[in-house]
Amino acid sequence: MTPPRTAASPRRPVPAPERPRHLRVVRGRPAPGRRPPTLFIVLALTATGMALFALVVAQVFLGQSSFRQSNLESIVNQKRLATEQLELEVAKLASPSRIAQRAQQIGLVPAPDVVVLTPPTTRSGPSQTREGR
Amino acid sequence: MRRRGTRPALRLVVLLFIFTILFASVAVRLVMLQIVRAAPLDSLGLQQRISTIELPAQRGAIFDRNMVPLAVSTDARALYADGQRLTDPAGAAAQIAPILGLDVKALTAKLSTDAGFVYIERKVPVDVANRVLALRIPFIGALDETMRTYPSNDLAGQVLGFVNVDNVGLSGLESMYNTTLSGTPGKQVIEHDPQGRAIPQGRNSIVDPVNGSGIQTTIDRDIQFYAEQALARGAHSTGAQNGTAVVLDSKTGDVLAMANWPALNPNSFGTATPDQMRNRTVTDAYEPGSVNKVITASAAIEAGIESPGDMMTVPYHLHVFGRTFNDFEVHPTWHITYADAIAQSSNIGTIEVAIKVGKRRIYDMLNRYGYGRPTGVGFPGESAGVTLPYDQWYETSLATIPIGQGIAVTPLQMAMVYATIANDGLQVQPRLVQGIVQPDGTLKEYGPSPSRRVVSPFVAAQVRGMLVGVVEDGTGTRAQIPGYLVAGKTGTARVPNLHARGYSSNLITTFVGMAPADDARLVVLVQLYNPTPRVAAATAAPVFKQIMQYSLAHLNIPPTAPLPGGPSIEEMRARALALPKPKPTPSATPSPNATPAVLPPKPKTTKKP
Repeated sequence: MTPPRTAASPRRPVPAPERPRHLRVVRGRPAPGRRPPTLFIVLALTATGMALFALVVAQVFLGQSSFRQSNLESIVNQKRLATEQLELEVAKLASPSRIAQRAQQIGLVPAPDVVVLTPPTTRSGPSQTREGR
Repeated sequence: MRRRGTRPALRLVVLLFIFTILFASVAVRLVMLQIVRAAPLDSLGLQQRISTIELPAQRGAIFDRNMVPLAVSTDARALYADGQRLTDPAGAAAQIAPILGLDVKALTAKLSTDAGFVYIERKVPVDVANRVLALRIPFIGALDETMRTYPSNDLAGQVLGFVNVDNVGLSGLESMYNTTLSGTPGKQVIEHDPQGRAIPQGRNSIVDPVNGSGIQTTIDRDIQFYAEQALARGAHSTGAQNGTAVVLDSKTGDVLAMANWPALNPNSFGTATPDQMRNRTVTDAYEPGSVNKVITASAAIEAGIESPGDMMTVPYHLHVFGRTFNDFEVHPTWHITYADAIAQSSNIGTIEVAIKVGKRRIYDMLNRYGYGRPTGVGFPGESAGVTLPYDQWYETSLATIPIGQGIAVTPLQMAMVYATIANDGLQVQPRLVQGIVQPDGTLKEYGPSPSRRVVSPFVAAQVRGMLVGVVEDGTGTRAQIPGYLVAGKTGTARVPNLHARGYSSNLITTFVGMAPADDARLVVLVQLYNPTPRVAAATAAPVFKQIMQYSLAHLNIPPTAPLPGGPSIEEMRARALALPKPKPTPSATPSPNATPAVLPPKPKTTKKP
């Protein structure tokens, strides 16, 4: 079985053959200058939190708008109903039968026959008056 | 030391087997629920969670010609209860009944039902329903609906008609224009939890209803009201059993009023009798009597057989076709003009002329005036009247039909005849609706009614002149209106027996006329059933006068009075009766011997004892 080659052997001054470059295991602490993953995690959590907060805020505003819309629709409906009722009331009050009844209550009476005054003409001479027969 | 049968391996195997069976069962059940029966179960769940509520469309309003509302729809509520789950029906009834004005016992009985759904009251005004709902009685609820209201109560009741509890038109214009007025209902889909609360993110949707269109009628509310009042007064004072009145604009065909007495209040049509619900002006055909004499006059003048000024001998009796006919009142033999005979409503004079004119011409003239056909107004239940086909005329028909017996017309048909004479021989199809009011409020007007020539302007003017004589010096003097030249005709006709041959003792009086006669725009017909006295001159004519006088004033139609510098009233009258000049037409050729109509001399100067 061939023993494994070590990284550098001072006892063998033969020129080291060019080793293939590939990944190797790094033991101990990471090399200085590399960013620890904590920052990334914090940033990610913050971003997620903010997104969630924004979502909640949006949802709240949506809910508020929805509530306001519902409230306004209810007010419009109430106003429409009130308008309908008032229009109906006006129509009832303006009905000829009610007006006639009210007129009688306050003592008004139908007019007698109309008297038509006929003005004089150039051909027929004096004026005439025709009364209802 | 291990006991037999309790080896761990065996226990594990048994446990594995049990769990395998259990998980397999769950898996099979899952497959059954999620795959095999997924669709029906999903549908079943939806049925339990989804409710569809119909959103009623508001029925369109009916307006008069000046856009005054005659029938309107308002929001209302239908109050209901869940009878199965209502725990204290008596207590609920005691609280609700006073608000709705119901009887507590009756409501308790209604709420004590085993039914899951029972209406407490329908068409409840919203504010009243809200008071009931504010009681917060469990299992009492409300549904949206609309309520039809007629704010003027019995004004034009038979013309407007009424709707049932589901807002479907049952009679009158409500039935005639039901599709236009109804609109399209919408629907609301709600997904709710078992407690009936809507699930916010569920399958909720709304399809808005499309409200119905309104209709603008040709009715003038004020004229309609006055006509109804005058008719009611006339019927009360004469003891008539019923009556009708029609007001027409002869130039446009617009029906300005259609009055029926006794009246109908569509707000409470359930209490009305079937007779009360009919619009008699179009549904009831009757024998018109002497008002039909204008048909013979038109045919005679057109054929040149008789003109208003032609002299004739009129006895009281006339024996023709095996029967003896006589005039309404006993009189000595008269030597009078044809215009006088019409003014005095002589049956014998008319029969004499009819015999000269002949069956064929009279039959044709009836057809041309529109007898035996609906007028085209389109009202539900309109009668076409009864006119015998020419080949089925009796021998005596030539004597009876010219005096308005043996033939039947509706009041509207008869008013149309006089409207044709008023409009210089041009008949305009009557109409009750002049436009559709779209849900957005815009008005889509119908075009003018179609018209057709019936007689020449000359014939119409001649007949009109004879009708002026009726009012000035004949049987219709009580229809005179100060300041206006009025033309018209009285008619008193016996009513046929319903179950036997011959006539009953009942009679119908009619007066139909036009004003101002020199440029007639308005035509009014009044008909009374069984009035006392039993003559049109004293019953229908005064009612005609009231309605016509009011209508002329209401529509600002100026009196037939001379203006300073203008012709005198006599000159105007002569001109009105003589114009327009004869214009021969293929359908209606005036008589070469016809003379311009003149005011008929008074009978007392022409009669011979």
